[in-house]
Amino acid sequence: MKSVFLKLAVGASLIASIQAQAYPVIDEAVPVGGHPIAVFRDEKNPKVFWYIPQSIEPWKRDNQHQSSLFHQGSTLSFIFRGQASVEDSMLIDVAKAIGTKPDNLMPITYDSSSNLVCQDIFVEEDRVSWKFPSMIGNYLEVVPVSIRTDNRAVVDELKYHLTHGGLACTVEVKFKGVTTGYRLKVVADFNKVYERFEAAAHAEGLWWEVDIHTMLERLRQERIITITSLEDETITQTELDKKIHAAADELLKAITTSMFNPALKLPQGNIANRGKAFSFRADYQRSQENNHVEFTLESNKVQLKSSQISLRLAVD
Amino acid sequence: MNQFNRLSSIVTAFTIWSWSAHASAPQNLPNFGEQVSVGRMQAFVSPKGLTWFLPLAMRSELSCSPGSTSRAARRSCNLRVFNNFSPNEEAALVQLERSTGTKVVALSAMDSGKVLTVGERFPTFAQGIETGEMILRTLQVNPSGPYASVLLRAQGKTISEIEEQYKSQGLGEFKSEVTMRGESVDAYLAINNAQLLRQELSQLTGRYSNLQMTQIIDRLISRLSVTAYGFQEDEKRNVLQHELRRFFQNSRHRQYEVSQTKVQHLTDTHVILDDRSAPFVAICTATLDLREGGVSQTRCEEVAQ
Repeated sequence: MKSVFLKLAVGASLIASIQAQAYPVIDEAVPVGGHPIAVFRDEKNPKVFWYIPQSIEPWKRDNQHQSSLFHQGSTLSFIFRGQASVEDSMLIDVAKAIGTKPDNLMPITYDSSSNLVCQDIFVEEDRVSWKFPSMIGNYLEVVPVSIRTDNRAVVDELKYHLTHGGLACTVEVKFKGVTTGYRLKVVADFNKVYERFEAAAHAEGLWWEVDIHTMLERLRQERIITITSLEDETITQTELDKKIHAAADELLKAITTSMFNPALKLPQGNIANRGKAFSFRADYQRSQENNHVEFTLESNKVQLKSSQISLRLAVD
Repeated sequence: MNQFNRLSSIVTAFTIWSWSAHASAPQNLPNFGEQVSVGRMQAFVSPKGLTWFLPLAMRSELSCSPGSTSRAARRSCNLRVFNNFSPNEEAALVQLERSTGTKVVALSAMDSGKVLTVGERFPTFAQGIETGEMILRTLQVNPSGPYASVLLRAQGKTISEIEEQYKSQGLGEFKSEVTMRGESVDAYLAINNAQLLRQELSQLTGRYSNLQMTQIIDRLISRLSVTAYGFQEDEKRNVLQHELRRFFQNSRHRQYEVSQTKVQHLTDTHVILDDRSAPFVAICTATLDLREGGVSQTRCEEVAQ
């Protein structure tokens, strides 16, 4: 099957520069009808999608970097030039599947690569030399691999495989994306929460941030507030505790927005290192709805994601 | 689950607020309660919006270097496993999407929320045969290249035997074992266009008799887009009526008015009931008979805890 390589549009680079520091959201790949590329949403622009090609094929874009195979007598020399491939027609199908235009699909640039490993059962043979880099660099760069031998026993064998399907390699690539730091469901009896805060308020009805954190943790232990993971119901308690810890500030914000106002007038005394001060909202109303309130806390973080892609060492 | 239990389970009033900056689409687990075969693959139809399928549709090819005059000379074969849909399978996936009204999505090794491990292996070959394996472990279909391959190198006679064996009884099995998270959905009821409900209810500012309230609710139900799974028609209607009544409250003198506080917190998809098992781990094994014309078959089962 012939591949038509994606023409690197200057426009794509321009969009990429405008999207400086924009990352794909790598929690879940976007459904693309089974096509062999992983596609992710852009963190900021809902119309933009990022894709990572899954294979590196022999270079066919132009004549500058063609793979070459020299066979003379008992000497065989093969130089592979490859490039991450994506067919124009597949991008069009993928764009249609996700309801966008092909121009909105952008290739993810690999941050790094490592562990290029190839089928090399000739490694024990005399006078067969393989040279390939451990890294492949940016997905658009040429991947130089060379094989040379003057071992008559393997020349015909190796030539056959390089011209009939090629030899297989895999390489690990890493790319940056954002992932959900946490996605938690909070269920709380707001009326009871308010009563507890009211009963334990400091003088003049004030609360300090650090004390609110302490009270919220106590309410969680008493299950007046419960927090569960929306991402994974089989998560371990240790992992869940880490996420709840990371979400502590967001939880405080959710509670204080409902029940407190920033305190305008602070009392005298030692209030250093206790954070912001809040006073109760006069308009908070106990109600049946507030007996059972649910909301979601969510946050993203940038991380490196790794993927294994294939590389086909072949003439074409 | 009978109607009474279902009503009881939704009696507890709840309000969902979302504080998240990014609205997330539902990402349900594969539903092992409804597995269907799509050609060589297994799909898991879920009422919650996403039908996941395992994209393992494998076949193999054997390509051997030509024989030489010396039987003792070494030859090699590349045994390649390809993973791509046939046109019929592709059409069947499209048809499944239409018939179920869900989005059909391929599971991927990059989707760590659902796919836990991908383990793939070739059979063990006889002594005297050198092997060089290459396996992707990505669960991606790849029309342009092999999904996995193994180079077999041995003396010429052995390679000839391998070629013959591939054409007849086969060279063994290539297995792809995927462990994943799943659930089993018994019943599910959701209003897909709750923004319509929100809009209509927010305009009802008067007080209504019981009869008027009932008529309003029946009219609303007729305009709602509802996903119902595991419900009889009358059961579904009763639960919907009960759910919509929750948005009304007694004002006085047997009159009802809409609780606008509850209405404001309706999200676009309003899930009324999601009756399912706790998530469990399942293992799906796609087995490819490594012989000429052989294709893979996929079987899935829950892993005993």
